[in-house]
Amino acid sequence: MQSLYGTLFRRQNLNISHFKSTLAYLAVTESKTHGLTLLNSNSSPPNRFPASMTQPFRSSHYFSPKFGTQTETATFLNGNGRSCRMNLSCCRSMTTVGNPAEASSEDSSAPVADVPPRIKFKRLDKTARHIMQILNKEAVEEVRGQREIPDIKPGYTVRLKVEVPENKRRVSTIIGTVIARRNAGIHTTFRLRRMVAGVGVESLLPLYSPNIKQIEVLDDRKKVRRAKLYYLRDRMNALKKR
Amino acid sequence: MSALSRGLISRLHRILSTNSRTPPTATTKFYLLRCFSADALIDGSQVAYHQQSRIIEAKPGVMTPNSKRTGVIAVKCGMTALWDKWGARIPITVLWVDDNIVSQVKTVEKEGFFALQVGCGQKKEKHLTKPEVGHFRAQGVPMKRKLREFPVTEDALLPVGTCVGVRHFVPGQFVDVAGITMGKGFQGGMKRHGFKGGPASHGASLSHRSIGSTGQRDAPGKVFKGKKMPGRMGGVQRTVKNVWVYKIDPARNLMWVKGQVPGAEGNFVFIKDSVYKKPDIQMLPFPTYFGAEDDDNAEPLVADLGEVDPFMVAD
Repeated sequence: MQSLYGTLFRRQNLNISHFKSTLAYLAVTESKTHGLTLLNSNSSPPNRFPASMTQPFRSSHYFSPKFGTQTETATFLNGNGRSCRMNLSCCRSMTTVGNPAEASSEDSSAPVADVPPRIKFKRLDKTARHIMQILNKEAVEEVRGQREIPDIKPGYTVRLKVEVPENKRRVSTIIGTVIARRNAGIHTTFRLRRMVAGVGVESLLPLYSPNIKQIEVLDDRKKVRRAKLYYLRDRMNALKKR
Repeated sequence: MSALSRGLISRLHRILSTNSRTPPTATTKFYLLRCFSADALIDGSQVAYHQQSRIIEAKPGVMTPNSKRTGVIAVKCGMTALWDKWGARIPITVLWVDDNIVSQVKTVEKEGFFALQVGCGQKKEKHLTKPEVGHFRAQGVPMKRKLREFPVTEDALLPVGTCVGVRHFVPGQFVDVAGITMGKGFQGGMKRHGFKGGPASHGASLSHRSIGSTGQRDAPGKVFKGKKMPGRMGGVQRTVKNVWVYKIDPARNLMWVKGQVPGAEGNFVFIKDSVYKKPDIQMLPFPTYFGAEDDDNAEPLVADLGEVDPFMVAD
């Protein structure tokens, strides 16, 4: 499990803001101090830190006074992330055991030996769920890095350019009101209601779909008091009134 | 015990056949002695003997159409959906090949058949029974959470302790995934066997979902064996065949396959090369992938979807 945190850490360590948020998250969960320790020892070159640095984090008791050095270490690591990546090559992420080779190299620098590889014996369904969470977050970040996705809220009027692969990849433009949004990571969807030839049409679209080429918010000043604007279905001509 | 008896039978068979053809050599006599003496099973010297007789090297070989590679043990992480490069959404199951190593090699000389026992995950000694610990100690491998035997051909044998990672499979190939299905409890005939049930109206009472008749009249006077009836459903091993491998991540030993595989999230599944949709033998690493073990910054490999847009081809 520690290495899972390590994965999260490494994936984000190029991005400083994300990196700090990860660190903060790890710091908040004080019970996972060991995870942070191993993360530190895994992701840092073994002989770059004196023994005093890897040593004190072994108990959560020491953790809070030493937090300053921890951040310092972390920023240092962030500064030369490239070299760290090279050093990381031994540790295999998404495994439940600490790397023995890494531990031995740590022992050579630090006088404290006899640290057996820690095996977290969690229930596998929890580990599996955690992996899925990480993958989901990565998928969202990848999409957000590729294209700009504005914040879509219920009540907004948006204009979409949607490519339909089934229809010879024609790009159609849809203008409508967002009446609902369902947050589910990469599967986040929103519901768009519009009038087509006097008939109300609703479409449910995945927010992160690559088929949505452009999202443009036309009007975001409509103030709504509901998260789901399903009452608009019952009102005739509701779009014009609002 | 079953493995032992399997080995004994096949060995006897082989010895008899060799006797018929050639005079018994010293080695066959030795086998005979070894199989029928009890202390041979706990003798430590047999490991050394085995190594003398057969040297298994971890080096790439040439795969023949009859070769059968080992499988791996994976953890089913869950399902998601991704868009491929053509914008089609594909249902995905994520499988995590957690630290698989070869924990035992079974050969014709000793067990009477060729197989590899693969272990997955980690486990502490205190959580294992003494016989299990003894097995791991004898083989000299770390404690494993799950063990599974995969029958292989002789050329696909691997030495004990070899890591089998997710690079064992190639994106775009087909695999068979076996696992224990989710238990459904005691279910009726409609759900369990797909019976039609009874009519909803026309005077039907209390028999809308019943299984109907179970046989004939006096002539057999009994219900035939194997008649499909209500009962326990699920919780048995099932194999989903021809599962397409979409993507692999060697850095984290993750594997994205298309569609569903048996079992709940967090259950072990067993992945093998597909039997029906056989992968291209030139494409596969044989006996397994012997790359740099520490390809931690290796990029995920995605299956080749071709250069032709499937949506435009349809017209």
